[in-house]
Amino acid sequence: MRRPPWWVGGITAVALGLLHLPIAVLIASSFNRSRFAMRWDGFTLDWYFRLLERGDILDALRASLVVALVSTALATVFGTLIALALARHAFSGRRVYQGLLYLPIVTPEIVMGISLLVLFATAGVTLGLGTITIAHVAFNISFVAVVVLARLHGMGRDLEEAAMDLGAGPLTTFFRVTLPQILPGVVAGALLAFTMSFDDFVITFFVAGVGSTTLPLLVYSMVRRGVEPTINAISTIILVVTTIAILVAYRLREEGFE
Amino acid sequence: MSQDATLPPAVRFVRVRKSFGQTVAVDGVSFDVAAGEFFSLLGPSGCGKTTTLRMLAGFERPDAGEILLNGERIDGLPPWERPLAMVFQSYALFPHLSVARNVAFGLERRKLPRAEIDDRVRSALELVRLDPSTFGSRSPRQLSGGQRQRVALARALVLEPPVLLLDEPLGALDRKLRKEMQAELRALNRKLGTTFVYVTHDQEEALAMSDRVAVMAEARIEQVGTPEDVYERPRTAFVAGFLGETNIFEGDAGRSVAVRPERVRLLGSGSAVPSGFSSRPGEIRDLVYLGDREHAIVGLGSGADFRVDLRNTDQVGGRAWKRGDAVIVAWRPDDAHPLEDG
Repeated sequence: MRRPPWWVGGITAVALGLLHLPIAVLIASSFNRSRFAMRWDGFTLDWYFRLLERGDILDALRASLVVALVSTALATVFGTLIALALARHAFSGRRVYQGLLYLPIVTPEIVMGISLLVLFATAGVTLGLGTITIAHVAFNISFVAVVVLARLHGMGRDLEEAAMDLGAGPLTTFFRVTLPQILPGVVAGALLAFTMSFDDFVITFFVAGVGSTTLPLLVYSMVRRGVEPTINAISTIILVVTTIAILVAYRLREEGFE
Repeated sequence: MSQDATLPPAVRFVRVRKSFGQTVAVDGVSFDVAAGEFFSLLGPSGCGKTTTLRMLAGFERPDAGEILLNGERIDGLPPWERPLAMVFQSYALFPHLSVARNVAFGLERRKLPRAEIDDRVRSALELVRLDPSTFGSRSPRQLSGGQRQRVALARALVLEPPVLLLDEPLGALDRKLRKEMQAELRALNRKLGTTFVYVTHDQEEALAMSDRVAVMAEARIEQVGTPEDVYERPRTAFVAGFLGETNIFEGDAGRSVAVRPERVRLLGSGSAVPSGFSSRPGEIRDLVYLGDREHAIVGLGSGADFRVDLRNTDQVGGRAWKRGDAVIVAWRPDDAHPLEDG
């Protein structure tokens, strides 16, 4: 392979810098004794400890975790069931359903947020953590289903047919053969769903109502009152949690295909 | 092969039909397989042989017709209620289970006591000549193709099924291993008395292993018979052409006639044709040397090519033929088989 000319490297460096430098500055600031990003006064964990004293932040963190865990669990079950139906059963309109699966993924979040808000308002549902959770399940089902579907297609039908041929009914076949095979995909889908839920802002903003605040919503309202260094600390935590989840999910998706 | 007249056939297909959308995969197929028989479904890819086997296993439902096992209809039963066992082309070993757990899978579904399961797994592995203490705890990923094949076989045989289904099980093995496994499968069929239904596209394999062969083409059975029947007395041009090489030409009665290259004699032009033989004059257009034999391709006056097999033991050594030699091809009328229009 030929070495690319020097200016390709230069453009790459600028692009990567623009993407990642702000994040690097944010992470560095969260450990900076100074209140101002421009000045380095030495290393500190003070901003992180200060988070623990803030009741509003801890409440928001708890709300975010509850919403993320519950919506992930529900989306994982439903998404896996949808993937199984699409991959293993012939029914009329199957291709339409498969197409619809990608709709929540490509729909702009703001459209999804407004439409869910209209739905809840029309149905007379009180906005709160419940509606946030339902909204998160709604967009996460697609992500889980798409990941599990890829895994099911990669697996083929032979193993399931072999299990049935050896006397296993549909349920036994699912739990003894299909599930162990698609588990990396299911877990990857769940981690993806957790990440999407944990850091979602736009859709949550529409369906949250008054009084229920998740971490991204709280960060937004805090920023409106001025950037405090504690926000850098929260953001760094969100970044680390989601990065780890995505990395594990990515590893799991790769794994197991020989 | 046990041929007790009072016993119903182990497997019976009665006018079974199956189509996928517009495509007819199996078109009114009927055949019987006797208990203990090694029965092969032979044909090119897309002929319907695999669909036939999958209907027997229960993975596909026939659109019409009946499938009987030991005289009882099974075409309405799901695969897990059919007492058959299948060896898959891909082996389909469960990658998350050890070899022993793979073999135990069917026995566990039957809720047998643990001690009995362990015993039967051990003897099944020994039956396919895998040492249980060496291989039992291994993962299928750690096995060679031939060893996986044996595990798949053990996993099916451990259930002592009345009928064993095999879907091109030797396709992925190299030539030497394939020959070895052919002999072993044949020996297992005889030793256990299990009925084998074997799907293959390899005519040599089908001839070498089977008691009887059903030759399939385009969703139908062309001919059912012993290997000798289908090779020596092909009923249709397809069967004659699919099993080995053959010369098909217009016979004296105006019907198509097939004669095998190894049944044709090559004589020098002007030499006497043995009495009672049929013959045609021609010219050697090409000679193909194959080691144990040589193919002479003889152009007949009509423009058709005639293939003659010269075995290395006699004719090749006996006379050196050259391209362009004027010759006579001759055969006994018994070796020329009239073909049905098909």
